Amino acid sequence: MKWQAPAASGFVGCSLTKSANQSISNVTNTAITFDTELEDTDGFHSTVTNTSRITIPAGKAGFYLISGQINYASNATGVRHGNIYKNGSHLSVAWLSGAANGDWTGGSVSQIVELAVNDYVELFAYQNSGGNVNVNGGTTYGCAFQVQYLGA
Amino acid sequence: MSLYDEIIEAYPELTDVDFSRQGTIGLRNDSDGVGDYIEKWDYSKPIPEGLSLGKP
Repeated sequence: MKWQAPAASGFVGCSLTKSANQSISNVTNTAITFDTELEDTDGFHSTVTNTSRITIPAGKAGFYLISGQINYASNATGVRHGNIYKNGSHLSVAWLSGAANGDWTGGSVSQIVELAVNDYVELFAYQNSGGNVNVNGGTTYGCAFQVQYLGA
Repeated sequence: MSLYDEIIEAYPELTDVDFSRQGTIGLRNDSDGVGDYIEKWDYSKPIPEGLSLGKP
């Protein structure tokens, strides 16, 4: 496999953050929603409909670097995962750093994947603290999700 | 009462292992307004009355 040279016009893809915390139920894989687009070159994301999804637009099928960052609120019990889903099905998982009191638990998950037009990817959170735990919003310590087009 | 709590109330012998990725029960929320639902049920006992498999 050979990567295509980057397009002369620069970055193609999108980069998302969320402005508010989101509650994640105990032992429930939950799609993280994103309401802020730092960049969206080709309409990959909507802040109105299916806000957890990054969808491949027409003419942009190919290989993508998908990456997500999740920061959980302080809580010392259980484990924390970050998961990438493709078209509603699990694709990859990262076991994040150990839960801790007094500080956030965070980490990232990433994968290079070939995506077709209308395929969509999502970032899912999972925790088993025994109760609800927030994932953080905000541009400094909040969650982020992005895709970068690598070539056809 | 959360979906997890309802299941635990019916089957208190369940542990976090049962709800892990390798476990027999999977819960999911697509953040589309539907809420939590049972994505996978491979537990040896039936789904508790009043609950169902899949997205409502």
